[in-house]
Amino acid sequence: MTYDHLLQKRAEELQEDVGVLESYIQSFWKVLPIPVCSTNPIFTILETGDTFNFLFEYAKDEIVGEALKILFVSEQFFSQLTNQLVGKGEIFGFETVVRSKSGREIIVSVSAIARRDEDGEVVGYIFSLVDITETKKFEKQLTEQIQNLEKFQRLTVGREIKMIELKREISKLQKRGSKSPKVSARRPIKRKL
Amino acid sequence: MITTEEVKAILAKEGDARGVVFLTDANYITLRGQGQILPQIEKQLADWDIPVKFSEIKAMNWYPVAWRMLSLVAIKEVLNWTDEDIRKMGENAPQVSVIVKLFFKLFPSVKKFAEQIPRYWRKHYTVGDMEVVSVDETNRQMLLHLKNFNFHPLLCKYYEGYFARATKLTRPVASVVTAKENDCHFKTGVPFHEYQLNWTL
Repeated sequence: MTYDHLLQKRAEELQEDVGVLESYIQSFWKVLPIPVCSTNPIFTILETGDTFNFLFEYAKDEIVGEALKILFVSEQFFSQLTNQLVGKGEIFGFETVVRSKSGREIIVSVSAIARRDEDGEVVGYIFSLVDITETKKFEKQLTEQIQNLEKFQRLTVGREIKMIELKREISKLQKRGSKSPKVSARRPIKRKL
Repeated sequence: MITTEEVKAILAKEGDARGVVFLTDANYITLRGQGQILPQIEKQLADWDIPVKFSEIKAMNWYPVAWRMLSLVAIKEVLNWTDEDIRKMGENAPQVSVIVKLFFKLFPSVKKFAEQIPRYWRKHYTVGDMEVVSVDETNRQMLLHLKNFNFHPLLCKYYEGYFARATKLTRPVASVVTAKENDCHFKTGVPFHEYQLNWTL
């Protein structure tokens, strides 16, 4: 086999590998159950996963090319978040409220990581925005239930303490009563007429 | 209508393009609600002995540029599109191209982005050379020369849309980016196609 043939064979193999990787990446974006998107360095959305599109109710071609900040309810929070991301290169678990195309508000946990090129320069970011609305709702319900239980406990324990105090009082009174001169059962009770 | 001789002349030209260019076209046609027409386009291509099946194209594989060029001609003819429709299709391409998403470094610095442009071209095509002639940050203008890439004038329109959108992906969302072909090999015989890009932010 000549050197040219070897090169040709190597090129074909590489092409096959790239094809496999391409299909893998496409599947990844399609089936990933977490809403993810990639952006350029100035936070313009470049790619979205199917779950992301479903959550935010946008078709891919509608949202790709838009600024990521349009999804965030608080622009100030978005600035803080991105400042931190630019500074640190990654952020994890920031809770905030985002808005879908129809205006539905969603509580999400935002994490993101910078993509860098071979020179270490940031060429974009990958964001995940996990919907925690139900978790938050459940958390709120749970907190309310705990508060109610605590209130109930305070009431019942308070009553119990009162009962114990009353019992002690009774027992004290009984003891005091037993120390006082005994009244004979046989002695007739003088009654005033 | 393109003639058999013109088809033959295009098919004789060398060079390969990534499959992604076919896929972005198919994506745009489907987006416009005309996906059911794709088999007609494939049939037109088959009539020219071009065995393209859009559903079987692999984004990163290489296919003859001539096929890509004639696919564009077939799209225009079958769908009865104008040059403006073709420009819009070019505008849509960077937005959905897997190559743009994977390989383009969309630096917000215009100079750094410009440095990458010849490399981007090579990611898509084995022929043609893309040169950045000038970058004027004050007047927000860039001049590009596309050399050794003379397949058909239809591609000139397509690239106006393509270059505008690819540049827009590096600018703030509110920026308005325009691209126009100032000089064209097919019109004046110059050995390049000159594109002028302008942006507002």
